[in-house]
Amino acid sequence: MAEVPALEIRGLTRRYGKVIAVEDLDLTVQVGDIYGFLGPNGAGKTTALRAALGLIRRDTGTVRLFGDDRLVGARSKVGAIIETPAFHSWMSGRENLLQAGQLSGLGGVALDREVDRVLERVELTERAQHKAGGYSLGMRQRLGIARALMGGPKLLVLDEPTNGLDPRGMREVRELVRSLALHDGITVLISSHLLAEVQAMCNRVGILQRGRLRAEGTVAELLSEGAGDGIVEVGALDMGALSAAVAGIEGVENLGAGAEGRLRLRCGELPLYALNAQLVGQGVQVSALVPARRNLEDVFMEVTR
Amino acid sequence: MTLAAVTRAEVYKLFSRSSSRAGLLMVVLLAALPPILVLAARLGMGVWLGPDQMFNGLPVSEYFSLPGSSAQVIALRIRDFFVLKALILLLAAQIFAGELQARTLREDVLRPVSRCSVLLAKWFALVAWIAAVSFLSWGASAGLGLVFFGWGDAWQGPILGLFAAVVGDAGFAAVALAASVLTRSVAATVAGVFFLAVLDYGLDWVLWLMKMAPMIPHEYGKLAGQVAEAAYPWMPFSAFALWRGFETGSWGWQGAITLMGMTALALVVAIGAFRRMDVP
Ligand SMILES: Nc1ncnc2c1ncn2[C@@H]1O[C@H](COP(=O)(O)OP(=O)(O)OP(=O)(O)O)[C@@H](O)[C@H]1O
Ligand SMILES: [Mg+2]
Repeated sequence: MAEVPALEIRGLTRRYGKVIAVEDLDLTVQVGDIYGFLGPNGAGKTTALRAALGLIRRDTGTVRLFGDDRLVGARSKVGAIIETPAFHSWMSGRENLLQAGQLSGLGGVALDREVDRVLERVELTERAQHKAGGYSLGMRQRLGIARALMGGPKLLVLDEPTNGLDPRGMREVRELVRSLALHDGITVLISSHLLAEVQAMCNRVGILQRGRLRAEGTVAELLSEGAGDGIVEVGALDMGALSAAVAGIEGVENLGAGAEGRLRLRCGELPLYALNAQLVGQGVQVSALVPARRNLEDVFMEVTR
Repeated sequence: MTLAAVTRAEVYKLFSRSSSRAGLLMVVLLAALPPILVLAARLGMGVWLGPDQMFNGLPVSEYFSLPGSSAQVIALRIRDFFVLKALILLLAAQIFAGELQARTLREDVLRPVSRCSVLLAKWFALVAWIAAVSFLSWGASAGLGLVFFGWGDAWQGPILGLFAAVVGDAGFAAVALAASVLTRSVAATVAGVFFLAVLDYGLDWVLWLMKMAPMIPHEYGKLAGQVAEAAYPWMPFSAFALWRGFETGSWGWQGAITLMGMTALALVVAIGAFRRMDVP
């Protein structure tokens, strides 16, 4: 079944003077995805998201939200945080949400109920009556998420939503995003520099660099690419002896220190049992032999090298 | 439908700003002051001179009187004093350029509303504020005058003038808002509109001088005078002074056309520029 994608970007280019912030970008977020949008600082993530939401002009390219290229109307299905959410500082958190709700066409009892619902969702009910200007960074971030949820969007666009949150806050956002996706059926497009978070949370990932999409796929696909390098971490009672032994084995490359004091080796085609046999044969007392798992950080580093 | 909703939100936002509240309070208090001062003078005179002091056959204290019909005229004059224009300018700068700089404009643009609605709602909110200031200050002045000193005589002219003044300032607000959109900066909006106002003032002065040109014994003198006479009622300064004509019962239709034209042009330009603008 070919469902209409939640977001479909085709051939998007945006320049700022000579700087090409986003270049010929194709990006598709399917309904149900939690899509991680990665890239180094200045890669063009925020620019791409702004253009996708109709905040800024596109030099070329088309954007469709749920198949609709009239973005004004289609935005009723979208909630978004772009960079740091901004609020009217002289109004309470609640009043700020009321403003957003009115602009989404809500009114009366339904509006009040919706505000209560989203406040509850981000656990900000207690401070809702206080002036937004007095909120801490993390509270503003939560209020931003609450506002993005106003009106029950089907797609959430979150540009670095965990920026400035404490460890508990980050975890809460991660769990919130998960539960929004799982229980509320909301599609999520999230840009982040926290690769472990993205790896734990997202099913699809796209990596942007200098305005171009360098890699894209499911997390599993990206992690398995090039995974046959045969990188192994080895521990021994006498690490000196281990290093010396490794130097004498044909086709094994010493990559230096690995996790927990182990040695990182690339053994290419050599199977683990053969490596172990050789080491033991040279009198090394092997205490650990761990095939290194590639993580998203490794992929990110390779792709954006 | 959405325009009404956006306008309601925008009006709430504008009226909750401390600058708009302080401005409103200030203008209303200024308008309430004259009847209160006159009453104080009257009571003071009565105590000081005694009730029997006569002047031209009337007790002296009777000369200190500001009945409702006169007090409302004073409210109109205070309203016209540059303070209200300055406040409108400041608010117009804040609600667009200020919100663009504070990035809160982005949060509105992210909602499912057209930019056209967002901008019109901002203008409507300004007009609502202008109307509130105008009618409240008029009510404060006229009401106190009425209570303290009675009805007085003519009411109609000043009331017509009041409505015309609201329309005139709505036009000024549109121009200020357009400057806010075009410059995208609070400071540049204030400076830009101030510059336009000075130009307008200068134009007034130049045309006034030109009107006297026929006194010069030269054939061009007469021509210059005719041009000035013909152009004068079409100029922005005439348009913005239209309310005086309503107050006195003789207003020029040319000024009304200029006012409508300026208002419409300012809004069209502002909406056009906003629609093409990056709102990051
Ligand atoms: N308003 C602007 N004027 C000029 N250049 C801009 C503007 N906005 C973005 N850029 C440039 O476009 C490029 C992409 O910026 P963008 O903010 O999209 O990056 P990003 O991927 O979101 O980075 P970060 O991870 O730091 O948030 C950068 O080179 C940036 O300098
Ligand atoms: Mg960014």
